[in-house]
Amino acid sequence: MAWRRESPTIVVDMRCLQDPHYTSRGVGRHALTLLRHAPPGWHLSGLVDPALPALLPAARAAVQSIYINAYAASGAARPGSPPAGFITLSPMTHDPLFSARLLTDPNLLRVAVVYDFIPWRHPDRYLPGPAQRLEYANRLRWLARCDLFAPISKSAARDLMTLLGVPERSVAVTGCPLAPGFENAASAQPHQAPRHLLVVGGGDARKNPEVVIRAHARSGIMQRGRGIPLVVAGGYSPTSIDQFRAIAAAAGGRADLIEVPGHVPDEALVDLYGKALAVVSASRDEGFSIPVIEGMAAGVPCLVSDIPAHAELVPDSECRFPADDDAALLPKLERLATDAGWRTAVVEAQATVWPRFRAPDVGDRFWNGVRRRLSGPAPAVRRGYRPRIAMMSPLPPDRSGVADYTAATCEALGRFVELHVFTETANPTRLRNVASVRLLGELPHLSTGFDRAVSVVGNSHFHTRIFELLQRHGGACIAHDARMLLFYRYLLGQERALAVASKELGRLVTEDELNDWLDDEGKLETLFLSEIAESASPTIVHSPVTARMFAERYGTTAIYLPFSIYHPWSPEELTKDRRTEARRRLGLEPNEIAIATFGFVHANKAPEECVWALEVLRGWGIPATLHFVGQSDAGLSAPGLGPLVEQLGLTRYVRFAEGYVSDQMYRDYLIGADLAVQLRTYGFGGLSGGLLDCAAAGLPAVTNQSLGAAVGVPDYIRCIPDAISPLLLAEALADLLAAGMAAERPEAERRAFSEQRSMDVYARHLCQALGFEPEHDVARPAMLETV
Amino acid sequence: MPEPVYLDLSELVAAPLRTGIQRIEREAIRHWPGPARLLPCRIDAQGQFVQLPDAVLEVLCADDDGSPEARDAERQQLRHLADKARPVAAAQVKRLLNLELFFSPIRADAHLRIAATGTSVSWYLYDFLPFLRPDLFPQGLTRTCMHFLRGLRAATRLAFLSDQTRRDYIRRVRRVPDLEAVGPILQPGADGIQLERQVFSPSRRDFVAIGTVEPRKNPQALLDAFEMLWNRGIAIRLVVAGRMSPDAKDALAFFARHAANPNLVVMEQPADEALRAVLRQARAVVMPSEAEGFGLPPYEALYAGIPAIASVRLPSAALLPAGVRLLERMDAASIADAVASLLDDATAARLWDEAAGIRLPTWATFGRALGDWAQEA
Repeated sequence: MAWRRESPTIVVDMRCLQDPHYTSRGVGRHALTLLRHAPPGWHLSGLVDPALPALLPAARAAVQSIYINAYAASGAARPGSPPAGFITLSPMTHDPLFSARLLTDPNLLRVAVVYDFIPWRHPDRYLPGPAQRLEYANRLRWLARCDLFAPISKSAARDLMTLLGVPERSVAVTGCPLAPGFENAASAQPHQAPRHLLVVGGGDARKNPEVVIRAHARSGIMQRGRGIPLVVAGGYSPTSIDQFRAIAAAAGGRADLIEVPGHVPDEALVDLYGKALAVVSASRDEGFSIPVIEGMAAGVPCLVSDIPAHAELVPDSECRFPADDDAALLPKLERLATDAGWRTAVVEAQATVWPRFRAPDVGDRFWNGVRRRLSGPAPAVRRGYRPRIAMMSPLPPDRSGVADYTAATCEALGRFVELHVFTETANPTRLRNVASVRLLGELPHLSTGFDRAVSVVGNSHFHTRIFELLQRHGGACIAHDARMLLFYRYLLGQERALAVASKELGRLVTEDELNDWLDDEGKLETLFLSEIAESASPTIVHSPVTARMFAERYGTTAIYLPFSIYHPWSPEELTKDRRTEARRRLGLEPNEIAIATFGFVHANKAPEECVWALEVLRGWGIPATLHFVGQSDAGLSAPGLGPLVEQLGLTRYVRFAEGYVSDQMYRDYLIGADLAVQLRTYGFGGLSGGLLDCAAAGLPAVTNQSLGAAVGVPDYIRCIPDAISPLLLAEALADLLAAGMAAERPEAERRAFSEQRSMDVYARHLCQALGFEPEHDVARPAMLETV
Repeated sequence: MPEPVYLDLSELVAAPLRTGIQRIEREAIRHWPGPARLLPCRIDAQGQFVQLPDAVLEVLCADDDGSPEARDAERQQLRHLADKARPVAAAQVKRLLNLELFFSPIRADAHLRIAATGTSVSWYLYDFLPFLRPDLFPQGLTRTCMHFLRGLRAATRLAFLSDQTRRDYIRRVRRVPDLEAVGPILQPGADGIQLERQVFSPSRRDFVAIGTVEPRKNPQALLDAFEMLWNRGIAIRLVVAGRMSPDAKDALAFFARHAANPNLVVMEQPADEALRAVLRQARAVVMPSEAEGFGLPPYEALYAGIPAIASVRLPSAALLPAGVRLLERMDAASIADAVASLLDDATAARLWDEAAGIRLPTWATFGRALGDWAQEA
């Protein structure tokens, strides 16, 4: 097996092309040049951070696709066409954890562009505190994980090898690109008489223009007559400019000869170079010096401080001076001004240097290095490898249906994979077939030790941290809820909720609208799932309706896995004797037609319609009773319910649960009730664990169409229109009774449904959704190894 | 002297609109045959029956010129008269007639209470659409209507607008499939527009849609059908006459888009005379709605000899043996085909000939039948 491919896909960390601190500076220019000169036919995928400003349009145009997290860009999300390499364009400037899954992936060729290690050499200035030093050291550690390094100069390469012990064979020095506008500036422009000395500096004190100012001030030649001005280009504050002039005056020079034009755009800079007697770079440290090659390209002699990066570009020591020695610089300045022959010789000698830094040549050096390494040997996977899955989820005993569902999923999935669960649940219930249960953190997202990371997300506080990690690092996501309104509003805040709603609807959503939706979810216009859709790869949903809406609203595909039975029943648990016992425990009369409705009592489950249906049924002479099997604070969540029951004279026939419903009572109702009702007043593909429980227990029930379609129900669950009519509800219940289903539950159909919706089937489909075929009894895990 | 019949006008007096139900109430009053007196009453906030002055009946039967001023004056008069209502003891009410659909639990309780005292309670039922076709109405509306079904148990005698309504009652509301002799069907009058008999002429080119423009009445299919025809270069005129529901957003947008289209005329709540003028130019009446309690517009058009295009599923379709193009599907293509076929003069003339032979009941007939039935109690 080899890495060689005709058209490899390369993931590129492009954050430096989003961050305004870097986009217009040397880092941004260099990074963009490299992308623009990628080999034809190679597929570049950009990795961007949605928390940063938008990517530069030119950078977006240089790549074929974009990912917003490392997982999505990795082979975990695209097992059929994994990337061959990962390039980090600026590894020391942005959080390495964001791309950790790629940096730790031994299947990838990991390439780092290296600029300099100036902070390491000048910690007092650039790393003043322990936090900064630790952060820098951490970034160095992540940098060391790369396989190939592309420093911008030999001096940066030497530092790299010294600092990280990188072997020379892993280094491809590229240099920095000269912007096309500076190429051949000397021949392109008419010859102009020199008028000034030029320093191209900047805000950083390291650039050291002061030494040039002093040398200039002390030079009689420079100061004589009209004088030769010293232009210090770069973004300097008025205070700095005053200081420059004060330095000149203190050194005996004329302040008026110091010209500070501020930041100069490229075209004007070319003009400044053209009129320069010399370009002086007195920097105390550099990874590379772009002004030097720009000056050379303009046919202007360059005098540089004697630092390694400069020495590479200006080998003639006569043109170098100690960085802080104005006395050494002064005679060189004056000689350039008076010795035309030497000036010409310097220009001619330096004219051979800059062509090496034309953008295509820099690009070639970089991509040839990458190409050579890609054609080398690649890691291989040992046969019989058992995938390692990290699953992030709440677990029992947290009181959450999602926690219960995950527990059942783990038991089934653990037969096919090595499963590690990460959770915030305190004292989680022991899970079968799970390799480990650990505290939730970033680790499973960062390490390729886990082939897949699966976040389980729901509409409750149990999922806040899981959601945040998913947003940052990506991964597969099992999205339990069809809408995340409450999660956003109450857990992430109103501002975030409004922003997401506005983005999803393409218009400004107001606070009033949001409150309207909270009052009645039937009015909800959007799902609040877009951020999951963007972050997850893939998103797995349990409702075909939600999957369809994903495609329609977000233009992405969500994988639909049918909501499966996480509380299975054996035939022995559903015998008539067991039903009789359950009814006795519940205090149900033999001739009573007990209708159960499961789950927290809330207006969006149409409890009033249930009460009205009871009224109709009793009007038809059916001795029905209605049982709300779920926590009830009906006064708050369904305020009209109690008075309605009383008004209709149904107090004796409606039973509310007191407090939390125990598992025993819940199961007794599933066995003992004659009929059930599970309704939702809103659509959007919302699911109901209660409805699935009814189906699993063979309890004939009535639901509304969208809920039935979302869950996918067998024939003994009847559907009525979503605009709920108590008359139609009563009619459907009476029809089930008339069909004898309550007396004799449809056991054969129940078994067929239970097999079709078993967790075993679910786990197999989940494996496929994650990109591998489920196999039982595969050998214990074997990590990736390089051959 | 026979016992008077108390007519519960709670809704009509409180909110006199020109709905179909209120029209039937007005016609019933207008054509009350006697001999028993018809006494207007309503149920107050405490659930007590109060008798309204007889003048209420006169106000409700007065001619309507359709002007906002006249309707406002009617509202004022009714409010004034309602204030003069006086309590009536339940024992006095031997015969009670209800022609209204209502939501009020107080009213349902009042009917149930008075029925329990032995009063003969007669209800005339239009349809059960809110209960059986909730999809046609906003979410939650059906729940609010349930007190009507509860109150219906008070009715000791029933009459029905259509056979469909009677069947729904027996099979689905009472759920007693073998129930017999539950009550008569009393067909509404077809002469409400008071338009003289029309005859065909090739110069008749307009198609007229009458009724509230609201989503459940399927206006979009009609509008799309005509847009298809216009796009085919057929310069045929559509006149839409009725109340505009703000919920009919697509239809309203269509009207705005076609504001300058000479082939589209929109008449919001036209007065009767304006409607008659439109029908005098009509080649046919078109009703796109498939879900109606009855379907009065084609029925009334046919009374005046004007053919109609309507859904085969309208309850009134069963009463229209000829002169109507009944469609299985009320989509734009089907409506466009039907309209296009009627543009052929010979085809249209044949349909007009059929319509000429149809005889339908008048409101006077209805009023007498209803009055006689109410007094049988």
